[in-house]
Amino acid sequence: MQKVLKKKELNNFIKELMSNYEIIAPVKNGKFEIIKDPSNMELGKITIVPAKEFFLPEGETLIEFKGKKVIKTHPENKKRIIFGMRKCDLNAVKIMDSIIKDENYLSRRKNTILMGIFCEHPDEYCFCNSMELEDYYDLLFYPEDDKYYISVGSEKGKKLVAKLPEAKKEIIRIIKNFKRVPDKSIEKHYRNKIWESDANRCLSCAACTINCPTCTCFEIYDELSPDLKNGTRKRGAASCQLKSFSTVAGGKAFRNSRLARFKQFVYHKIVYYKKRNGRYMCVGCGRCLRACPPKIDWTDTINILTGMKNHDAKRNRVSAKKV
Amino acid sequence: MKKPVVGVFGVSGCAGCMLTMLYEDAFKQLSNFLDLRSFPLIKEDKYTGDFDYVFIEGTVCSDEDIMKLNEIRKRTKKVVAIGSCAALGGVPSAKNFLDQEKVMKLVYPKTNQLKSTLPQPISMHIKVDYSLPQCPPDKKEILEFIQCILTGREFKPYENPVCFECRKKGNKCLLDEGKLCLGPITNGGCNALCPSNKTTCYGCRGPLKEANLKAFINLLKEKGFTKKELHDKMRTFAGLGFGELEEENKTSRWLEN
Amino acid sequence: MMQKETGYLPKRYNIKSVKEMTSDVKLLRVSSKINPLPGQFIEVSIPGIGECPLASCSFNKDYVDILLRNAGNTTSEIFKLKAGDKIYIRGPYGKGFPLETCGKDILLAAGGTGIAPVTSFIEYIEKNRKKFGKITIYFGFRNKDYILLKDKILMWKKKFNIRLTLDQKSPGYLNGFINQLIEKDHPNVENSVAFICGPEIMMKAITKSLNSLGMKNNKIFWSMERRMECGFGNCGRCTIQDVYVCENGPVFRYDFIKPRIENEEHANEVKE
Repeated sequence: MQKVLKKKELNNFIKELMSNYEIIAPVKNGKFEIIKDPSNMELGKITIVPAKEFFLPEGETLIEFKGKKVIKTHPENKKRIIFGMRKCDLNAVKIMDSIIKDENYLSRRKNTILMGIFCEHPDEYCFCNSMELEDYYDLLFYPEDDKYYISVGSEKGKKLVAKLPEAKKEIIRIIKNFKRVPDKSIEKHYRNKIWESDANRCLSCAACTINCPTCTCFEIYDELSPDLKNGTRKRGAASCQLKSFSTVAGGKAFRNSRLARFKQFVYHKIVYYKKRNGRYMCVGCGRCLRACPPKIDWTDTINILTGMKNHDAKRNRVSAKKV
Repeated sequence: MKKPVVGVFGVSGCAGCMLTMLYEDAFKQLSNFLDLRSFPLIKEDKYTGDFDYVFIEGTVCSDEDIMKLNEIRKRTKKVVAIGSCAALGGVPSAKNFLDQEKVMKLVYPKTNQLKSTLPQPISMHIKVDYSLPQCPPDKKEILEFIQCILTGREFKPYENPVCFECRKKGNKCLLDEGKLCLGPITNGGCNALCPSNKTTCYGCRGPLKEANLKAFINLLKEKGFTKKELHDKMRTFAGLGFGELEEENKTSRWLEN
Repeated sequence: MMQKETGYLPKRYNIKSVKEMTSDVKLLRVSSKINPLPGQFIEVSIPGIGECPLASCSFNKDYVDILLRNAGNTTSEIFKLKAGDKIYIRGPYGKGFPLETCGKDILLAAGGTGIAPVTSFIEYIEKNRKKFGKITIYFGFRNKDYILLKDKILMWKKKFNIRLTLDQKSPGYLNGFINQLIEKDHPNVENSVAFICGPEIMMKAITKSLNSLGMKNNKIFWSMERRMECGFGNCGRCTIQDVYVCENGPVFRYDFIKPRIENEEHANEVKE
């Protein structure tokens, strides 16, 4: 049974939660941020930057060195709620859960409640319906007229809405998508030349992977204190789009070409992860496409490869831009 | 361990790089481990012996500069070009792309006795072992470099684009906003200082080895930027820095049509 | 089966001895009871400098041997350590050589520092000699001065069929690459399984020679080198397509890894 909350009561509802939880929600600049005032929330659009930094903060300390002692640092254990995640964001957390297994991540994850919101306004880059997403949330808010109809997905979520009245009807909606990737069987097309036209336009800026909610590749690096006595071992985001990421001591890069790196991103999302985990690693949020400066659309390429789109259409589009 | 003997020098420049070093608290801390023998802003230059490391800032603009460089090089094991001027040519190299006589008359209308050569990065005159470009140089990088000296590690220059750090900070792309930002073709390590403050990247850390210049130029053309706009940006702070990358890629070919 | 390690905290161990092998290769013996399985690797670190993945070069419950080439910042820092110094290690990680190959004849081939994981396997075989059939071991080094673990090789000569060859001509030694020597020797590989470790180009050549002797790719195992960083399939650095070298390897059956490496190479060959 769904719970119901009047839209104008939302800010009060969030404010009440603030006494026990840190609240993280989308704000105006296209990011998720810790909010102190619910009126700063911006729930209308998908964020540009995903919420993964709240699970894998950039440059977090894994270990500290004090002289010869090695100390494990523990992450902050604040109880928190991330509100305003969409179906894509929520599924992305589930995918992160399947990849990252260290103590810091697990403890942050355990202390986080996922309070999602139905995505009313997907844009031209969204293709979540093509990615076989599942229902994954503690609470999910469906807006309808002047109310939110709230689906409960877990015991944790149930407690948060215990005081709210039960809904008299059930509202379940399906997200509209303009973009579709119906057939994703691209494994056999790995060596197809068409990928070169995408890779040739790629700037290797890593915007796609940094803004992807499921890209979690990282690097581990050490820092020394100025007195050279103490140090820290840290973790920061890495990217398969950078040559430095696959370079070994001595200088050899195993993904030396831009093409190899570009395909690593697409194939990891669509093929490799699925082979290992039975589902796509891409959640169809379209953030990589939005963030890409030359707007390379690999979903388009997939559609051409699988015969879902006319090959000439693509070729014309690319060559038209050359003029 | 014997303290490494270190000197700081400048050829034609603004002394901004030296100031940056001085302003860094960590540098003061680290300088306890160094035998700092020469530093124009804080020390008289009387030392005539040899150096393990010398940091040089500024652009080579005169014959005196060249003599000074050669003299320092002879006494030094490792030379470090610090700042965009020393490493890439910096702002003064703009003269390379202009009509020499016009520039002379414009800057020094009354004298004709001034002798200045074409401004060049110090690497065009002496062997440079390490470069720490950026205008002004990055404090954290200087710190890391000195730590490398002290621990005997090999300094590894940053080799990812400015965009990588910029996106990690959650910034919106300035190219998307219609601005000419050199982030995708510029070597990072500055923690995307300019784009994080809504100013486009001027490439002051020099070209990215892995830059896809052709794709970048195509993108700029799509967005309606001109060759002059690109060159102006490339040559403001990076000086001659992008020249080689352009040469390698025969950029003009794509820029013309 | 060991529980999967997922932490980044290394433990501190004592260095028992350091032996200089060549100008840029050393062998460190570390007192530790972690006893990696043959072919597994460990993350060796220097606080404040960094970590580096290294294959275990021993199979012993009281110590771990680490053979390392001075190739980067962390290794050059490890190079400065002496007997009695401390070193930090986490692991072991990865799947080693498949020990279910017991009962078979074993052909081992190692080039350069690729001798490290092969050594751990040989020491396992020594301790479990009855479980295996005929043992043939090929070693390849650049020249006389680059021969690693000479003492061990001399000792193994008494127990196993050792074939050592040098790239450069040197009196008293066989000359040529391992693949050429294998073709010349023409060993009977009917009941054999092969384990190879070395540069990829060398492993390819040896595989080709073994194929020509009639050995199938599903009987050949490669010990791969990539940049393993986290050690347990999280950081994504060491992937070859869908495979994590740290978690699924570093030892792979060649017929399994071959299409992946070939795809990787194909994508790298493109000209922009």
